[in-house]
Amino acid sequence: MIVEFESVKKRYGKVQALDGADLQVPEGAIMGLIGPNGAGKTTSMLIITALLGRDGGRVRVGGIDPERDPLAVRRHVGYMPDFFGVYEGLRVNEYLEFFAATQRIRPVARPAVVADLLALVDLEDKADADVNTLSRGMKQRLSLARALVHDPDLLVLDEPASGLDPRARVHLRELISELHRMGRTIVISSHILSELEGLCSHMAIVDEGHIMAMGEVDDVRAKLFGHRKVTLRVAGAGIPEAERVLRGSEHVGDLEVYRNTIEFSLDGEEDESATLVAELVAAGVGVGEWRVERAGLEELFLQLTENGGRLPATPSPGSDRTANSSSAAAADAAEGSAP
Amino acid sequence: MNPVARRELQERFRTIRSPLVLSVWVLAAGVVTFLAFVVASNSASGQLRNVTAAGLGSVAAAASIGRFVLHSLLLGMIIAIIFVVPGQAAVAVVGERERQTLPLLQVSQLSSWRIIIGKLWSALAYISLLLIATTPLMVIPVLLGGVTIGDILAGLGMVAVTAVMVGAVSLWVSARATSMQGAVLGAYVWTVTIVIGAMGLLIAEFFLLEPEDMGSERIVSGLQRDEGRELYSTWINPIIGMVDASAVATDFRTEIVASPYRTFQGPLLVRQGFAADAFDRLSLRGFNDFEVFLERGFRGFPQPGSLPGVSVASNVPPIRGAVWPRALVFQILVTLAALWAAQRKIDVPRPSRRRKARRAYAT
Repeated sequence: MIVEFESVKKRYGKVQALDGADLQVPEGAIMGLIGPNGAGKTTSMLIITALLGRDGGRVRVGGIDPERDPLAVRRHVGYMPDFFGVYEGLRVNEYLEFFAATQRIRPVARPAVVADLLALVDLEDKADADVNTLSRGMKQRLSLARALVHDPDLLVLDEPASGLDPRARVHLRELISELHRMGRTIVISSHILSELEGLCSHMAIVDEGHIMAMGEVDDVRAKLFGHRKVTLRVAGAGIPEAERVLRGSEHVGDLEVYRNTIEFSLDGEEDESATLVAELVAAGVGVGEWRVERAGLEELFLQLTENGGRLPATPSPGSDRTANSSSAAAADAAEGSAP
Repeated sequence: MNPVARRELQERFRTIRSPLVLSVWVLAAGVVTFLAFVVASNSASGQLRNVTAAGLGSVAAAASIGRFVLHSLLLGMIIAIIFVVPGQAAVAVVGERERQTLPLLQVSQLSSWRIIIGKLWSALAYISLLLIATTPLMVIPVLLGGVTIGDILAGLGMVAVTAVMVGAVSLWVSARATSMQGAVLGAYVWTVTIVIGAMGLLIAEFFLLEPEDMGSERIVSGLQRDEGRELYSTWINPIIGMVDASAVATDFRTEIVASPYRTFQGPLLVRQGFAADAFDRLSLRGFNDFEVFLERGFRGFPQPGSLPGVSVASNVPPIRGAVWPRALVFQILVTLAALWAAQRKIDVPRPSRRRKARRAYAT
């Protein structure tokens, strides 16, 4: 694990931003941190980057305690915050050269590093442009280049797609995928969950300072929702037979029949789905269409936020979440007060 | 070079404002020097009408004018430092915070010490440039005579140390501040407190003394002298420190043009047991320099030792050590304390929290 949190606590005044959070980020993963405002995502990121101390618990980043040796941790971590710090009057290449200098890259190596990064983020033609004149999308890419200037193993990206137009989002998403292919571990938070949908290999649901669920995206989704919604369109007059087969399966629930279509929830994975199709075919049912829908991150996020920061009624098995009386508004305040 | 300082200088010198301010500064310093020279020359001409040996008097007058010009320039510089440096340094850290670039520096390989030192560098670099641009004017007093290169370097050195101290204190204020306005205001309040406060303490301490209370008086090298008394507030006074470093207070001479240092040298003379002369210099006993000049300089002229501008008691042994090394130590200590506090303010994670975390984890 490149990042390990054990029972990490962090408090801002009266607001408990992290309350015994446990987080593990495997090496080479793209870990999406998902949760409503004030859930503790930014606080977690600040602790990973050694920009914030914790009040309790254990943290290791690349095996190093960020509080004991922050400089060593920062050597391995590139951080892109959810804001873009601008130095007025600097050109794009000077901006990157400055941050290369702050990362102790030798002066002779800096021009090459800057040129490579500008090529990577597709800003070569803007090398001599004033940073202030860049569009938001370009600034985000430049910000990403800045985070990469010392070639870190771990990238921590806080809301990188925030405020970008669709084209810029696609561009940024491609860049992140490219960086992942280059072997970097990426921790990313975003409210634009459709962006994370196909991007993240892992995800952690953060709520009220707890990590509610964590793991590979499909596993988490399955754990949280526990079922998939299946739509079966029957070819011919096999509805009664299909209904009989489905009602006989222990994995099927909430079955509803509409003319030649049956909708039901399937409690299981691909194996159960395949078995059911085979049983239907064996029973002589003409399977015209078999559509399995998975709960999207967007849906999950909406449920979380609509519930005032609480998870759906079927929480993750094994989740040790306890009832927490602090409100989402208080958590929002915590996020807002994070430096 | 420290990358923070390098970037700030790069940013600063790219605009037209910097060369413009530099030009205005040099022009203003030139005008001040010229005016000081004119005022001193006119004053000297008036005085020299009474001098029978005009040729020798002219040389002495030139030296006196030289000292006047140098002392005016150095005092002008240190006052400019006190007014300019806080404004420059106070925005350094809070400015980074406001434009959201501080976390970007904090997450880099720069330690909090390097960030603060870089900020100090950049705040002082411009001031240093202004001072360096003014140094050619310092040649004028040397040409006129009456001052040495050593006097100039010592004076400039103390000005520089004061600039570093004021810059460090302003940085500390900046690191604590949450807004630019608050930082600038706070920096000026602290600087004025240090400089004016030290002066206030000195005045209070000085007036606790009366010439009559100074113990048994005796005559040393023709001068009235007693045991004197240490004035501790001189140790923390940057202006007194500079005055002491760039001129010897006990180098008694009948100046044709009174140096602007005169007032600041009063306390230095009291420390060395020349309370009467100190009070004379401060015009607190109904004397003024012209009267002293007439009484000591020209009565019976050309008696040895009373030639205008020439020391009458240059080998007066000091009772107490010089003030400037003490002022130097004080300023260095204040500088280090301020820098330490400033870096601690931007150090992440904060050490206190670190200890707290260890305790919490241990339990």
